[in-house]
Amino acid sequence: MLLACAHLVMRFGGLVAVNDVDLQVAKGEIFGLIGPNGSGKTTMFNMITGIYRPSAGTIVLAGEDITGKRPDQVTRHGVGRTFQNIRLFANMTVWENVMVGRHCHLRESLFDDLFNTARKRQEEKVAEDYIDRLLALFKLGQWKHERARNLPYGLQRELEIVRALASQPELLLLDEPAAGMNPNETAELMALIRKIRDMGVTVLLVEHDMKLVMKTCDRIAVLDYGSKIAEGTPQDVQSNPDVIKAYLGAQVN
Amino acid sequence: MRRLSLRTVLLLLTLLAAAAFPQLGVRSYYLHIAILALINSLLALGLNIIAGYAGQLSLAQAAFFGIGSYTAALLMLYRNVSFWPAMAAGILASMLIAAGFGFPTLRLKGPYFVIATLGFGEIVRLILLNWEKVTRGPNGLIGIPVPDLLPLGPLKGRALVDGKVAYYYFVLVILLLVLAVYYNFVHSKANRALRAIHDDQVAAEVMGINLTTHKITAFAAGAGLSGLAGVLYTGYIRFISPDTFTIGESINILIMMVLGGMGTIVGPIIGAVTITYLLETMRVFKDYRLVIYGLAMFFMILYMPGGLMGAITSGRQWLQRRKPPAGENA
Amino acid sequence: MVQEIVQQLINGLVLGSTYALIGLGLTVIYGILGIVNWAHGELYMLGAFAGLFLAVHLHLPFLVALVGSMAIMALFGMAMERLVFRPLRGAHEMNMIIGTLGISIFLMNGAFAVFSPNPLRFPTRFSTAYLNFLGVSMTVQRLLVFVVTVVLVAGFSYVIKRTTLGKAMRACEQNLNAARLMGIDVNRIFRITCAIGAALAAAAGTLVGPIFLVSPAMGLLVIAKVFAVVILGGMGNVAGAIWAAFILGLTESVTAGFISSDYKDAVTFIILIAVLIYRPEGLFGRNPLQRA
Repeated sequence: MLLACAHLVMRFGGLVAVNDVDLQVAKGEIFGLIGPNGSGKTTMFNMITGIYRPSAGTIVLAGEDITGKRPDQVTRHGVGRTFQNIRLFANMTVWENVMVGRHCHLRESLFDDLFNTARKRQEEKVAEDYIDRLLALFKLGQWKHERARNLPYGLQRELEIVRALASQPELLLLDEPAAGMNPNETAELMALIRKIRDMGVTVLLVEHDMKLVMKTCDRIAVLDYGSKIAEGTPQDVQSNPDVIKAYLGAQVN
Repeated sequence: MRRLSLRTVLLLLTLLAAAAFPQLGVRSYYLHIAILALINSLLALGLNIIAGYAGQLSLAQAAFFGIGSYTAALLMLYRNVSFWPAMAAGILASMLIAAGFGFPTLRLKGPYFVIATLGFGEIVRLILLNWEKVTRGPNGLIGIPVPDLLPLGPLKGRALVDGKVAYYYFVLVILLLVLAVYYNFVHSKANRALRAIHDDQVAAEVMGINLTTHKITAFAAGAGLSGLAGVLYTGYIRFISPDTFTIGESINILIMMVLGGMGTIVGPIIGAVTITYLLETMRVFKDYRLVIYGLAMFFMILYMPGGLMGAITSGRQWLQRRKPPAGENA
Repeated sequence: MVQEIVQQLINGLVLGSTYALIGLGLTVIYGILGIVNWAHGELYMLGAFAGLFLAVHLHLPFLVALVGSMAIMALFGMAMERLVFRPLRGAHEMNMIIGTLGISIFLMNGAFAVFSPNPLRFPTRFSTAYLNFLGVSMTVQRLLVFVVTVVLVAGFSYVIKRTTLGKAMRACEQNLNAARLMGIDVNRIFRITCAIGAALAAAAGTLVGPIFLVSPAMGLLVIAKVFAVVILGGMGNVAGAIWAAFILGLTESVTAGFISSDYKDAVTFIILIAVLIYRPEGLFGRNPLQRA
């Protein structure tokens, strides 16, 4: 198991947002986390990435306990993520955004930075080459020097994903990547996610678009009111009566 | 023969002008203003690190200006310490105190941190004013020895920076050295990290940036530059008192940075030079000046947040878009 | 000794009342508009000048001048909402601070230039009438400050808790978009909030002007401490602001009287910084207006 969450609980005052949830994601999987609004999916993400400290439970990534660690520490362990509401660095260019994503891999010290040492120039050059290849792979190269806030919505979403990939994570968390996309864009996104998996990255995905989830994910877990009510392959989950009841009117293929 | 860009040419011309300035037979008064302008440039550049790049406003610059100034003055006056060690002590004192203050306070939300720096600035000023045993209170410290720049061998103790012209060049060289390092900083991973924090702190942290480390370092660096400015001020005026280091002074520095253009290297310098000149020469209209600056700051932040430098850069970009590229690169 | 304590108590209540009136406006503007108004001290200062003009130059009775200055500054507050706060809405936090700071500088120095560079005296019939309380002689003006503050704070509480307007204000403070969807004219609520905030600050200025002197710098002298009050009380927390105002006012006067007059301000700020370090939300935290 790449990611093993055991008995995770998140309490906000009197409200229990996540109630004793276990989650296991195997290396190389595309794992889907679905559920009605407010069921605790983003809270799960925030716990895994260190933005919230779990009230109880453990999170283990590739054998290391990352429970309660700070977000920057979690990233260094090999986790990348995108956000439900795009959180790009609006005033920075595409290239700069992705370079910030690469932050952990730039090993120069502050001294190197201040005195422009050979080491700094070397690290920057290597990173630049990597970023250029990454941008080319995702066809963002032509926008390299454009400010992130000037990009159209679809490209912004893609940039967020590329920025997360720049840190070469083992596990990539995508929070509603298809939000606001039309069917064409969604189809492209599905191809993108598969491409990412082929690059060797494990994907944990929160999504409302059922078509995307059912067609892309290897396994799915369903949350409702903070508890896990079902888990299994897309077929299992689709025909699960509890899931259908929770959604009440969701699309079923 | 490599073609020089317009920007490089302008830079060289400015450098030439700055170097030639004292030789042009200007009145001593203008040389005085020029030295103050250079010192204020350091203050504005310091604020620019924490506010311009990291997006965290601080009103404590005057306090660190004062800490650097008084530390150097006290060492030179009462402990016979020569200039360079006193300078190092002044800068170090500012940076250490800044790190100590920043450690618990930089995690506060924006406006709360600003008030904390306001409070800190007032506390420092009150100490300088009331700890009469050490600082001689409102009377200030007088008779600070002229900086001796080469305290070795036959020149030991001999004042080598005598006169405004020599001091002007001295401060100019220091500013240029600082700018060299500053330039490297702006084109580095550290700077990108600060700008990321500015745009979205949460996302920055998720990208692997340790917020506390970066913010404290930025704050301490800004304080260090302010401390350096303080030391240079002490060496120049050789008489210091607490009423130089007030919140009003911090606000002046803010005005310089905002009007000149925060988030750039040249902006704070332009702002410092312009505002210093105006502040010193238009004393008669003192109250009207600030009326205008206040209003200007308001409109600038709304419509020209990049200040003067931002306007110049936008203008250039606009021009470049209108003409096909002629192969000239910045 | 008892006299000393009573004297400082009175001073503390006067200070606390001042901070409460100014702080109330500041905290409510933050809670509802989301703006940190660095120019709020200047509303207090302009209110003092307005009161001075009405009472001393137009020879109106003091209480009429008080109401008059509140009315004038209420209009000024509405103008500020339209001209200063609305353009700043949605700007980066630091830019909001810089913007209102610029307006503060503009107003303060404008007052220097237009009104008077020197502090002015503001004599009223209350500031020259004395009464005796527990052996301490004080001017009636000081008593008036406290009494009027209590009245205004009670009035404000009533408006917030019992009127439709108050309900609308609380709704805006909780969730702006939901309030809009419920048909609340959000811009109108903003205007009214600013009017109230400015009026309260003006009241403080007019009440306190006769005790200290009226000068263009009076806003600057007091704003840092008012911010300390508002932060300690929890920004947006009305009850918290009032409690913090009196706690800090009393602390300040006790420090001045018994410990050291020179460092009294330092004590306030040390308390503020210490509290912020251990409880970043302030002593009372961020509570909705409902608890006022």
